[in-house]
Amino acid sequence: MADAELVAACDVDGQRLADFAERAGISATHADYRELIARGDIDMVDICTNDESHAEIAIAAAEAGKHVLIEKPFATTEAEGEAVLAAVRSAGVKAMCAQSQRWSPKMLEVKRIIDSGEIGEPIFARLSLPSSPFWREEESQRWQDRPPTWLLVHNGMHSFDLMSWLFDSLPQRVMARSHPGQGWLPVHEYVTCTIRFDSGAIAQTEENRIMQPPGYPFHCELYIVGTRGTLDLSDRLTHSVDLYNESGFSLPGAHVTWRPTDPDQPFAGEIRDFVRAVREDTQPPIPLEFSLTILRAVLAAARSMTTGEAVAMGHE
Amino acid sequence: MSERLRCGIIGFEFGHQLAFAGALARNRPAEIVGVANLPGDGDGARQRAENFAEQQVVPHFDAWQELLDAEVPEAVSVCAPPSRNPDIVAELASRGVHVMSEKPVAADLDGVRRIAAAVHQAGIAFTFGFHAARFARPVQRAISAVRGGEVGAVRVLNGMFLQTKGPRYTISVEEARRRRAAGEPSVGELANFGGYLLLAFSAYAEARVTSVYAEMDAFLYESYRIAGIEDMALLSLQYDTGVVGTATLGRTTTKSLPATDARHEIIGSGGVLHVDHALGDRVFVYGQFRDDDPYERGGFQTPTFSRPSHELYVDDFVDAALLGRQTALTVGNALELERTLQAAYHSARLHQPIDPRELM
Repeated sequence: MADAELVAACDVDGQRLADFAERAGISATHADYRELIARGDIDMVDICTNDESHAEIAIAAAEAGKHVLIEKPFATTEAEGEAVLAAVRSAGVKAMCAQSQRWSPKMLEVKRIIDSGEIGEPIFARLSLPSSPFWREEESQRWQDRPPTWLLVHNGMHSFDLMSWLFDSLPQRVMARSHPGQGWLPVHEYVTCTIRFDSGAIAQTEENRIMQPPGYPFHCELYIVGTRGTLDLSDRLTHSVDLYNESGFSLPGAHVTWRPTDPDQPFAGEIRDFVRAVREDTQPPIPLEFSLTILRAVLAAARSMTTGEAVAMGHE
Repeated sequence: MSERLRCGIIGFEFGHQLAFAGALARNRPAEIVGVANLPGDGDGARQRAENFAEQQVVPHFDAWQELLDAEVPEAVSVCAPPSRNPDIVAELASRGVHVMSEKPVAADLDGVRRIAAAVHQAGIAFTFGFHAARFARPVQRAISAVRGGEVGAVRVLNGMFLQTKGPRYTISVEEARRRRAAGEPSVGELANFGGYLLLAFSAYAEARVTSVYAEMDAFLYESYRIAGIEDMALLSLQYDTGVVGTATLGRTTTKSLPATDARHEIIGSGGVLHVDHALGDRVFVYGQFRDDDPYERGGFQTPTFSRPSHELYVDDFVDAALLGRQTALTVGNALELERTLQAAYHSARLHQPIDPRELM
């Protein structure tokens, strides 16, 4: 990336850190994040650690004057989220919760179609984002200390952010249901959320690690009904967006395809745009205030999943 | 066992009747003995009934009771508005006539209860119009695969049934205003289509719904807003076996989708099964737009590779009536379905999940 220089890396796993440093061609490595953020030759850090450590590191980095790009979820509780936002504001640094899905070519195409008005006002969506299964039982030890709602908070940040972005509206009410899946983990492996948005639109999202048999494609599905048409995205069997509207399928443009691209492209895109915001001193593409609202909605869904009741949100 | 089943056809206001009546006419043990209109049938319904009677060379009656008195059918296919259907089915049952009823079978839970009581008391065969939920070939194959253990224990059910832009006789703004002024009930798309998904789900899950959460609205059609009914609904379901489900139901304004978009996903402990019984299992032949296409989608034909589900449904009804066995879609299924639907309507008003078992 022309506008950024990788200076140092930190990881608690020494071998993983060494492998990365060799691959990235850097010599500065740290086993403790405090050492890294104390460096004077770093302007920005990219935090991609366990979910539970995001807020602590982000706050420390902001207090050290570093701009922070934080992997989702940027916090796991509302209090943590508010503390991160307060630290960022106090330090006057830029911060953004990473949402790579917004930079994926297919989602950019979906956003373009919606914004162009080709399907009218979106009123309904069903979204299933890809996620890896928890694999085999013997590999599940690392997930044993996670709560039942962990998958919802971890992946739901993507789904809720994406739907709010596409609908240009915030969640107003949410109901979540889950299935424990194989049952060898406390984490529920399947969660579905029914969301009513401020605009009146409704959506269902799915976080699914419950069952992906061998050979089952790692895929995304998104179906949107608008007041004037329907959009049907799936990369399970084809890489395509099928667009049905009043033009009918006899006209060109009803079937939009994209080339499968470099899987790193969405990540490169979000880092590029955050770096640009830092260098040009502009608002990051996703304001942290927005991500805090999304986090609140996801945590409301987690409460719904636990209590079995729908949860309404009041926005500031 | 009788080798013939004398069948009457009652009510032609809805387009489905022509399909059911035609299937009965092609069914070998079934014999069409007469056709009748219902009070309030429009000119189109009357014309369709008379044409069908002429085609079958059987008498046409203005009143359905006259058909029963004159021809004494053993079974009927009845297509009546949901608000009037319970009275008709109850009288048919009291005369010992087997009933194949159009869906929805009633406008409320009390109506379905009355039908259930009448059917049980008379001991007649009863089935109702959500044929695709059990007889669409891909759904039948899916039910067979699930019961054969091919996906292991069912854990998640996701489904969609979205009809494209409605035919021209879908409720108009004027008709919606008239009904509202007259206090006549209208039935929304959740009740109209919900059985197509929920009855398939109950076959996959072999379980009862214990909680329903719903969001719905009249998003797309002004007439639906006036009539106070929904054109789109989202359901979140919990079953007593722990299975969770989602159901998307409605009628969009999208004209160019080639058919109803109907999809099921069954996630089990040992595999995933996808069912597409609207776009799959058939050939699409695209041609010029046709003025007589009630869906205004353009001229296409959809010849299928197998017998359509409504014919298999009619076969099941005729066999059940002749053999004295249960149909695949029983009045118990209708009652269970109605409880789930009513729980969904309550949920949408209260913004909280509802246990349909509380609506006993």
